[in-house]
Formats: sequence, structure tokens, C-alpha cells
Amino acid sequence: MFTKILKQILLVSLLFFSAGIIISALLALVPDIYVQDTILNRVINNFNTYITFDYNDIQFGNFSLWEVILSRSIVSLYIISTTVFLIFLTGIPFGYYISYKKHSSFIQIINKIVCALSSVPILIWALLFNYIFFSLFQKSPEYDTINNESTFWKYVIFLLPPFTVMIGDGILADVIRRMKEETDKILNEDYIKVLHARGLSTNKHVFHALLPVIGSVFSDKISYLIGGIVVVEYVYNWKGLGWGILNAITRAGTKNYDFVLGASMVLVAVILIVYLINEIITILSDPRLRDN
Amino acid sequence: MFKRIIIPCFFYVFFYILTLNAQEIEHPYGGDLPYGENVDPGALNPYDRLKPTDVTDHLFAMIYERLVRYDFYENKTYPVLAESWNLSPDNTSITFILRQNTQWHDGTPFTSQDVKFTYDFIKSRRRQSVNYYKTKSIDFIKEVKIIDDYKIQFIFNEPESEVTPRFDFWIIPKHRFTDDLLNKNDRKGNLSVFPIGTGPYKFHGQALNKNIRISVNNNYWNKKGHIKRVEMHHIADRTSMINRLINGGIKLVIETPPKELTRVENAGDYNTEAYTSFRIHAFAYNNKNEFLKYRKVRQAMTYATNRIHLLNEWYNGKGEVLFGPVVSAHPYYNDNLAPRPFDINTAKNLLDQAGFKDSNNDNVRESPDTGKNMEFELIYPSSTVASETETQSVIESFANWMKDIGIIIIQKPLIMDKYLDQSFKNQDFDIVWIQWTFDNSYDITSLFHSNETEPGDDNFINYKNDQVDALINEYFNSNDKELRRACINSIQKILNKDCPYTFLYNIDNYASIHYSYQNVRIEPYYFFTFLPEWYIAEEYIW
Amino acid sequence: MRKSFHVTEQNQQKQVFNIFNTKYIEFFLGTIILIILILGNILVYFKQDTLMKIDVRNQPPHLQFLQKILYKPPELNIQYQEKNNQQMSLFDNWFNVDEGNLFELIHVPIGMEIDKEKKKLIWRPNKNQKGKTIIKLKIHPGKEKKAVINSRPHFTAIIGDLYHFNIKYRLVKTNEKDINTIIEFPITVSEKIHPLGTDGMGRDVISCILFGTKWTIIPGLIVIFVSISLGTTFGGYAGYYGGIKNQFLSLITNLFAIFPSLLIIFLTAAIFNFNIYLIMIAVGLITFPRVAVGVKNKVLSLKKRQFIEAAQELGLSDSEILWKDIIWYNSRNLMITNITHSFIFAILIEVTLSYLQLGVQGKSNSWGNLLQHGKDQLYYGEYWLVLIPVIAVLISITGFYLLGDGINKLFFIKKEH
Repeated sequence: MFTKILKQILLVSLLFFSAGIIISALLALVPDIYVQDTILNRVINNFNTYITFDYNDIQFGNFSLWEVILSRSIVSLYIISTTVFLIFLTGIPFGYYISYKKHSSFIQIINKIVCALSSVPILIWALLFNYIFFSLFQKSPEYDTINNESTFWKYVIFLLPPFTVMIGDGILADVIRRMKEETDKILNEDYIKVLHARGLSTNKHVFHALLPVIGSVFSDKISYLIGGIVVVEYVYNWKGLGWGILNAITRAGTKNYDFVLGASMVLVAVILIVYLINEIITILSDPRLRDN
Repeated sequence: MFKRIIIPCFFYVFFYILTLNAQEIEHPYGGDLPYGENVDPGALNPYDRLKPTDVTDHLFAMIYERLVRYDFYENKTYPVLAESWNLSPDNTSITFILRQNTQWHDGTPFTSQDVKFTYDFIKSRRRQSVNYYKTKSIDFIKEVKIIDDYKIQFIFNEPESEVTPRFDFWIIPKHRFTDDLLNKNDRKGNLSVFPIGTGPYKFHGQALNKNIRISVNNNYWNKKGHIKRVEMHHIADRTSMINRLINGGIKLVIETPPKELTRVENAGDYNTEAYTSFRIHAFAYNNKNEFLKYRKVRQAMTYATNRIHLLNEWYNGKGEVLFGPVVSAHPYYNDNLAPRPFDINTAKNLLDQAGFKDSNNDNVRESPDTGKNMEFELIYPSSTVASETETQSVIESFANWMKDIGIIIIQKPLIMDKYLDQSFKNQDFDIVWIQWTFDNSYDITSLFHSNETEPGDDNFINYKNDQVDALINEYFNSNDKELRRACINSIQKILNKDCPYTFLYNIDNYASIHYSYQNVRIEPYYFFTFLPEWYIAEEYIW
Repeated sequence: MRKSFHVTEQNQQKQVFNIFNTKYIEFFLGTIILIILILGNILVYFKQDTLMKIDVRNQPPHLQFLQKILYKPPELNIQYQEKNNQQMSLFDNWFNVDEGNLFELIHVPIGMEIDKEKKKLIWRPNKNQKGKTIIKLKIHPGKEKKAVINSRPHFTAIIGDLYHFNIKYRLVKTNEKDINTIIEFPITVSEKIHPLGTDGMGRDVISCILFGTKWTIIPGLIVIFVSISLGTTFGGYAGYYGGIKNQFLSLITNLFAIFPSLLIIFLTAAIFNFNIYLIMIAVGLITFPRVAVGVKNKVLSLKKRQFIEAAQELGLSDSEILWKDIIWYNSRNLMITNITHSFIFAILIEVTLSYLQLGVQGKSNSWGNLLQHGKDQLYYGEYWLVLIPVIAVLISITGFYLLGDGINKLFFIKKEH
């Protein structure tokens, strides 16, 4: 079992470095007037900074690039973690509950409504909330204005971006659908039916069987979540990694390639950690996969 | 027990009452001024590699100081760091007597060494920046001599008068560029990161979200500023900036977009103050193009743009239509000229007279020699700031009018870097939409002199006219104000006739400021020159 | 026994001819929406992005139906309540000498008149009155009465038509702070009817939406081409052959699966100078892992079946088995869902990119550009530039979902014994 986990870790690190190669190559292809190196030199320089964490300190004024990346990544990681937490709270139990109570039409209607609402793009939810906040409450839900508000509004403003990411772009619908299918499969298994017939509780077994499913759901959806986070950061003016990447690439003047490398490193690391957790959970939960 | 509590309380109350009296000064001290900008400020050294913008000049007006200050409206120079000056009788040199007992923000005294160092620094940075407009302003100086700790002499290349307005460059400290600091790679020692000047406000720090904090300088040589802290917020989107203004997050917006003025005025808490802007919008024609080198073609295209309509549609009529690069508030504005009216028939006649007719009835004119269609590529920068849509609409209307007279315009939006590269460096364009921003000296000569046609210079349209060159030389060589006025007037007349640009308009700038700020006096380009005089009404300080 | 037999036949006949059965309706709705999008594409191709005619800017929608939901034209309701809860008409007190004139015209366009008998304001706009005018009225409520204005309607008018504005004056409860004695309501006059209004440059919103359908179909086709070709090859070979090939191919699919999607899209947008068609190739590379995983699972599940063994024993080559038996005949519902999801993903990416000003540039508008221009107008109460592209996006997305589900249910789902 441990050899398998080690193999996965090696695989993850290999993916990390190959992702770095691809990103540094793409960055080197961006046309820039102020840089006068050949493309190959640029690729090599970018990859060097990616691996050795040797970031140039001058580009951000008083702060080193590390501090900037840290502060921006705190914002983004906060949003990612709260969205994951919210999906965990709402989508997964809901999906399980739907397949449990297949015959109730009320819940099926709610399911359809939720899936329809969640297929609205994140951008549109963000614009809508922005407008509602400004016109009804006379507040702008931006990060810099938090200090002037009372605690209730602070909580609301802090929870608004994760909420919009959760309910947009069809993520909740996908999660609910997958949970429903998998629990259907599991509830049709023989051993569960036997336990039901006997009148014993099946929660432990269903949960045990659902663990790898949850892991695979998150590892599928995490890259789309990160895509949604960029939109939310732009609309609500939260200065996180996605906003920083947008600003670094599209602004006039010299572009900040080191920041993009650092930010992409953080994002790729997040995705790979989730992937690794997923793999470890599948290996641990299914004894057939433990040994080769 | 009670004694231990009551007697100290009595003393606290007594001292508090004493301090109350001390606070009753003419205007109360204190308060914040948060203001918003759209554009990232960048490097905070005025002579650094990147181009300075008016955003950075707003900051520099608080932190740095100049030798003299030239007032645009009154056409006078006021002493700032130089107490007085003496022009030599043969107009070949000038000596400044500098102000004593002034200090930089870190305590070291200000001497003439700093002034000489600034001059050397600017000269060493010549030709290294993308648009070195400011660095060219010292070309007229041949040599700098330090006579004393507080006396300095500048010697010119040629005899000049009216030269004091040109000494309005920011003075930077010499002691921040010692080898020690540069070798240590200390970030705080780098002037682009932590600027140090002699001004009424000092740089406090820049936050991670790119807000810049500035606090008042208690050791200023002149009257101390009333407002204690100033903070610059960087907000990328213009509508969210106005939303934050209305909600009270920021209290001042330096340039409100014209379409948001009604919203700000309806909010009730804000005063909108108008001030002249030195920014002109224009279409620039490349004089090397086979069609555009003819004067009649350019005049026709000017006749065919309805500039009043554009002003009213997109800017609510708040501006003025121009016939030249000079704004009406400028002292040398030629009152006898007027912009050409909108007249499509004269435009068509002019094009027919120039020989460009439509021979094959496809509604596009061709040249009689080569048979090539009259098609021009119009490049303009795609907006990097969100919610800025006026340029695209203006250009589309222009393209429509050109179509009516038989010219096809191909619109090409470019990223800012490519736009600057293609227009200024490579000079590879037909028509360019351009915005010129002049500073307080309002020097239009570099745009039209035939010496300034190298890549990177301001005369990127390759406009060459001997009369204009002669007039420019006369302008710089003369002492007489009336003669200089006559030169600029005749330059405007020639430019009106030649139409190297189609000058569109100059838009009024409006600053929105909360009504608690009193005694607000604005200088047109630098904006914060009179910031020490502003104060907040007593009931709003907390 | 016979009766029950008879009943089942009748039921079967009813089911066949019942179009509103859910099996058919999804398919029909989906095809209708797809046909609308394709017709829009054809329109754009033949007109070739020529400028639409420019009319008055920021004109609100002229649809009476929309206005009735949101405003209440052509009546201007000034609500106002008295102590005894009595309703009063304005014109009863118009010329009441004791209380004075209750309402006064301050700024009114030329030609607007009061009809005292019918108690209305009448107006027939000229050609010279094109554009936006604001009508201002002043109310003199009197001692104990207070007035409040609830809505600020924005009317539209066409040159040459006759308009009546009824003015009713009802009393409501108010606070002291809500006194607003001057009422303004804007009217925009134009030559033509724009049922859904005009945008910031004066172009009709309906034509803007139709021109925006250009960016829905072809980018989706590019994404499909890239993602499905790569996904089926990678997933098929990985599932069928197992072992080292499986590991190698799954490594490559995982490599593309771990990229944060929008990062790659921004970089490709910067590299290819905002050319949407080239960006969609990168989008295809991002979406193909999902396809590959689905195909691989399907292949693994089918590999153990008997018909595959039989085919192998018959001597069919591996590639024939893989491509024909497994993928073509047995995984069509998978392909259909992947196709529709790719279209949807392409539309979403294109809209977000255009909103962030990294996608479609310049004249040729997409729905994201309309959103970008329109989000500023929301704060003035001008909602149509945001609402209508949003509805268009939602309709196209639901259309593709319904189409996929409908096709699957009609053709490709097998009854399980």
C-alpha cells in the first residue's frame, strides 16, 4: 500500500514539473516589446525561476514577490476552501438525499430548480449580486470597504464570493447528479439490500463506499472552481491570484512573468494536492486496490 | 478608595479641558483624504525607465518640489525651492539662490548638490525611456556650476529669455544614490520604491493592494498641511470607483467620467469642480502616405467630421472643439480663428479638386495614377480600463462619415504596447487616434518641428514645414512677450490651414470631492499643489 | 381480461400521439433553439458584420408587455395618501383656489398640452424632438398631505404617434424625509420602434443579439473537434490496452486535467492576440480529459462482455473492435452529452472572456461585450442591456442541455431487462 502511495507522490511531482515546463513555454511565447531574448532563453529562465523559487525582488515596490504571492494566495485559498466547504455542506448531502427519496416528487422538483439555477454562469450571478447590494443596501461588496461595515455585513461580504462560485457554472448540478448516480448504484447493491431487509442501518457502509466518489468529484471540479474564482475576483475587486494574473498579463508596460509563474505554481499545487488526496482515499478505502 | 479614584479623575478632566483650548486654531488639523485612481502608478522616481503619467505627477506634487512653479492662468513663476533668481544681462546664464533650512523627509538638509545631481541624473537617462518628454526639457542647459551651498548657476547653449518656467523639474536627493545603498540592494533605499522629497507630504508606504499612503510632513518649510493623511486607492473599474465614491469609501475622484456626473450630482454629498485639462483628442495623419500628404485630403476629412455632435453625444457637451493644439484657456490662444464646420459637400468638392474621384462606381475614391482605393487603417488603443467605450464609438462615427465621402476606414484596435510601438517607434500607420497631454509649460513645438522626426520623437507624423520651423526658432529666441504670442498665433494659423491632425476636442475635467473639504484650490495638471491649504470642516473630523 | 387488454392498447395509442410527453418535448425545444442559432449565423454570414443603423442611444424597450411588468405606462402614478384613506384625482383639485394648484408643469417638451376635459397630458412628438427629454412636474401637497414618488418610469415614444399620459394622484403613508416635490421622468423619442431597446451606441438590441450568435456555433465546433478526437483516442486505447499504455496515456490526460483552466485561456489570449478561434483550441485541450475518462470507464466496463470476446475470436482486429463495436455502437449517449457540454463550455468561456475584454474585440459584438457595456447602465435604472444578453445566454445553454437529454432519451437509451 505504501509503495502505491509513494508512486502516486512521484507521479504528482512529475506532473508538477511538466506543468511548469508547459506554463513557462507559454509565457515565453507571449509577445512583449520590452523583452529582447530569444524564446528558448525565456523558456529556460522561466523554468529556472519555477524550480529554484528565485524570484526577482524589485518588481513590487516595497515588497518581495514572496510576500505579494502569499497575500494574494491567502485570498484565493480562502475563497477556494470556503466554496469546497459549502459544496460539501450542501451539494453532497442533497445528492445523497435525492436518491434516497426517489419517490417524492417535491424533492425532484427542488432538484430541477437547483440544477437550473446552478447552470447560470458565475459572471451573471456576480453582476446580479453587485447590483442588488448597491441598489438595495447602498453598499459595494468589495474587499477594501470591509473595514467600514458592521459585523453582519462583514460576514455577508466575506461569504459572497464563495457563494457565487458555488452556485454558478453548473458545478452544483454536476455534483448533485454524480452523487445521485453513485448512491443509486450503491443502494442497488446486494449487501445493502440485505441490510435494509434486515432492518439494520446502512449509513456506515454507504458512507464508506461514497468516500472515493467524493474525492473524485472534487478532483474533477477543482480546476473549474479555480476558473470561476478569477471571474469573482475581477467583479468584486478582491485582489487574489486570478486578479493578479489578469493584471500581470494585460497591463501596459513590462509584464510580470515571475508573478504569473508563482501564482500558477500555487494553483497547480492546490489541484495536485486534491488529486493526491483523492488517490490516497481510493487506495485506503478499497482493499482490492491496496496491493498490486 | 474613593480618594484614589476621584482625585486622578479630577486631574484628567482638568488637563482635558486645557487641551481643548489648544485645539481652537484657525482651521482644525486632522482628517483623511482617500482618493481613487484608475491606473497603476508604477515607479515613484520621476526619471525612471517607465513613462511618467499624470497619475504619478499627482503623487509627486505632494512629495517632491521644484525650483520654481509656473502658474498657467496668471502666466507667472513663483519661487518654491529657489528663493530668487538672477538672469545675467546677456541672457546666457541664470543663478538661483536656494532656500536655506529646508530638509528632506529623512532629515538631511537640502543643498545645491541635489540640484546638480538631478540635472546629471536626467541627462544620463536621456534616450533610455520610452517617451522622454520631461528629459528633453533640459536640453537648453549647457553646464551647471555650484557657487555655494545655496547658490547655483545654469549656463545655456544659446541666449534665452523666458526661461524660468522650464525649471519646473522635480528635484531628487543625492544622498539616496550613494554606492552603499545601491550595492546593498536595500529596497527601501531605492527611490523608485520609497520616494523622499522636500514636499509638504511624505511617503508613508505602499500596501499590498497597491494603495499608497502619504502623511503630512511636520518639518515643512512653509505652512504645514491641515489634512493629516492621504491615501491613493487603485481601482481598476471606473463605475466601481464612482460607486465607492457615492458609498463613502473614497472622498475624491480626480477625473470623473462625463457620463457619471449626473449620478454624482444626484447623490447630494459631493461638489463637482471643473478645471481645465491640457489633454486634446485628435486623429493624426501620416504625411508619408500617398493620399494623406495632400493638404486638401486632410482638410476634406476635417470638414467631414461633426465634432460638435461627438462632443454632445459622448461627453454631454462638456468641452470645446479645437482647431489647433492650443486650448482656449492658454494665454496664446488665437481668438481670430475658428474650427471648420461640418460640411460634407465642401469635403466632397475638395476631394474632387485634389483629383481623387470614383471612376468605377463602387462608392470608393481611387487615385488617378495607381488606381488604388482610398483605404486607410486606423489604429487605436483598446481600452485597458474597464467601462471606457467612448473612443470606439467616436471612431465608428468617423468611419461612417468617411464612408459618406468615399473613403474606407479599417479599424484596428491594438494593445497599448503595440499601439505605442507601431505609432511612435516604427511610424507604421495611416491614421492614429491619439490623446496628447501637455503639462504646465504647454510646449507644442516638439510636435511640429522637423528635427523631431526620429523614431520615438513627438513629430511622428513627419510633418515638415519651413515656416513653422522658422517661427518655432523665433519663439525660442525672442525676449518679447508680444513677439512670442505672434509666433504662436501664426503657428496656429498655419496648422489650421495645413491640418496635419484633425483636432477633435478638449474635454473639461471634473473633480468630485466631498463637501466637507473646504478651501479646495486645484492646479490644472498637478492637482495637489495647493493641498496644504485644504482643510476639513470641524464637524467632520473624527 | 379482455377489458384490460383493450385498455392497454388504447393507452399505447395515446402515448404514441401525445407530443407533450417528456420524451419528445425536450428534443423539440432543443432543436428549435439550435435552429434559431444557426439561422442567426447564416444572417451574420450574409450581412457580414455591416453596421446596423444607428438610432437614439440608450432607448428603453418599446414592448408594452415588458413595460407593464416593470413600469405602469402610460400612466404616471404619483402615490400619496390622505388620513381617511380616500383616493383623489388630481384634476379635482387642480383649480381649487383655497389650496392652490396642486401640480405645476416646470419643463415640458414643445407641443405637450393639457386636456382638461379628459384629464390627460397629450403629446405628438416632432422630428426635431428626437432623443431624450426630461419632463419635470412640481407638486404642492399642502399642509398635512405628503407625497412620495415610487417609481421612475422611462417612457418611449415614436415620432408622429399620439400619446396620452394619465395623471392620477393617490395618497400614501410617508415619512418626513421622503418629500420630493419635483418629479422628473424621462422620455426618449426615436424614429423607429425598437422592441427591446438600443444600446450605448444606438444599435438595436435584437440585431446585436442576432449578430452575437456568430460566436456560439463555430467555436463550439472547434472545441468538439479537438476534445472528442483526442479524448476518444486517449481514452479508448488506455482502456482497451491496459498496462503501460494505460499509465502513459493517463499520465498525459492527467497533465492536461490539472491546469487551472482560465490561466491557460488568458495566456493563449495574450499569445494569439485575442483570436477566439485559436483560443478555442486551447479550450479543447482543457476539456478532453473529461471525455477521455468517460470513454475509458465505458471501454473498461464493456471489455468484459461476451460480444467482445466473440469478436476477438472471430478475428476482428483490435482497432475495429474498439472503434466500431464499443465506441460507435455503444457509447453514443456519452458522445452526445460530451458534445453538448462542449458547446456550453465554449459559450461560457467566450462570454466571460468578452466581458473581461480579452475575447471579441472591436465592432463585432458578442454577448459578453454587451454585458460589459451594459453593467454601467444598471445604476441608472436601465436594465435591458444586461437582462437580454443574460436571457439569450440562458436560453442557448438550456437549449443545448435539452437537446442532449432529448436525443439520449429518444434514440440511445436501451431498456434494461
